Amino acid sequence: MGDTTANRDEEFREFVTTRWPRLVRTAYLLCGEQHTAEDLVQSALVRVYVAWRRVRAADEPDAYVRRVLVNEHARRHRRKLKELLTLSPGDTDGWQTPDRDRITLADDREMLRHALAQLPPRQRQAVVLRYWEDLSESQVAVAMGCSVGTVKSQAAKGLAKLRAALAREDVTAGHGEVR
Amino acid sequence: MNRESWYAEPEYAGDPDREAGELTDRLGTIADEVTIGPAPYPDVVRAGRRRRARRRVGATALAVTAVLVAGGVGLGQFGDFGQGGTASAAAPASAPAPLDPVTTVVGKGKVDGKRWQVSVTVYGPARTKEEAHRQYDLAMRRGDAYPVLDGKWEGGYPKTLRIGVTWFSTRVTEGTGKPRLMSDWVSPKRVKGETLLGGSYQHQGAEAGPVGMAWLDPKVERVVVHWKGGTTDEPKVVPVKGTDVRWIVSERPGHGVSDDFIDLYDGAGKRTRMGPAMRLEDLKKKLPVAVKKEQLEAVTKAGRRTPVEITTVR
Repeated sequence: MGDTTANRDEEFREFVTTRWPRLVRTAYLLCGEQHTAEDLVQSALVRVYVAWRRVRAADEPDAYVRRVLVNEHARRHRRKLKELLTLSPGDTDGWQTPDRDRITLADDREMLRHALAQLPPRQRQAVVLRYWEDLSESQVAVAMGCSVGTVKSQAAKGLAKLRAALAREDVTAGHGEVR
Repeated sequence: MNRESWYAEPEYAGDPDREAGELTDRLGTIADEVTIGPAPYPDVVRAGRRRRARRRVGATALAVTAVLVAGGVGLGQFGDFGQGGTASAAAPASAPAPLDPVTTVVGKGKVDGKRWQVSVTVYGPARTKEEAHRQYDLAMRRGDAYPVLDGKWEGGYPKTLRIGVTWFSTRVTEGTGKPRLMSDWVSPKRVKGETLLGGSYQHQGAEAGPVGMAWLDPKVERVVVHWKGGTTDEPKVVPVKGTDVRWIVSERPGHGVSDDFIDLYDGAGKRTRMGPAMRLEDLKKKLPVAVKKEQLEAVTKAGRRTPVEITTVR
């Protein structure tokens, strides 16, 4: 029995160590702030630890942890919406959106980061999981707890908004006309 | 990097694969900005064990409650605050994670055509100095804490940190103004049979605000606030998520009107009357020895109340 527990712990340790970098990066794309991203992943991993016996028996522990991560992100966002008292006007789900000037906007990454921050959470989740995590639509649907159709529409809407937002910022930053 | 990108480049339009590949690359450049530290495996395991233990306790408590209800026993019968009861009417709530505070709106209303709202945010106990630093960062970012407790700093952080204690902050919004931090407090230590009353009654400047507020022992079931001038109010007793302390918020009958006395009733209807002077004295008596005298004086001079429990980091 003790040996089994030790094995479980060792497997979990390996899981955490190997998945940590990727999960933090995904969380960073979802929430836009490093410390918040680490907190998000840590909270998700705590939940995974509690259910580790079930998770390790499942075919895809990665799918499970992604689902927990997305749920945790959605939960925090919902809570944030409720916490009207603590939100300042213009807050965008914790994303760091520094004052933008032309130089900042000229930074390609900054533009994408800002455009991403303006997406609603579900669309951001769909875009990040579909294009950054490179998951299939059905895998994204599992992670987001919705249908494949919803994933398609959320990702398409997110993509369209990203295009529009980036095109707008491109013009603002004086990078030429947008066709 | 080529600025002619997936979002504006006409030749990509209609080529979803190439478009997707471009976006993946670009997301990757952002994701690569993150500094990846070592995986916090020990922290995860420690928190996981605590969570598992809490769930077990919760399941046990649920089972006990179910037995009591099935047996036709009201929980209120066990509440005998003021007499040193042996059982609590409310099970202690599990504190939230230190970096995941929870907020409860404890009261809202309208005075002179302006809406007001009061909320309480509970922060779970930080376990280490590093965690307390991160919690402090979070609280400051959210505007939930005062910058310093004692004016001493160490490496960009207050020298006095809250470690191992649950604490909460209260915020009020008046009209269309921005939320205003009223106070941040360390949660009162549960003392059997006692009722600790605090809140803006003693808070400098709060007398002019639209409301008075107080925290209550979990055994208090009903409250009647008697305002100077003869009016009374029976505010709703609101449990705050993440703590077993309850709160009341009572609307002032007029600007600057202070409270006269407050009647607290337990589940059995037993009344305890609290007067303003008595409450202030009670607060001083309840301060643990950990709070130094000079610290108390400094905070009192500054017009702020003193947290009841402080851990100093060396």
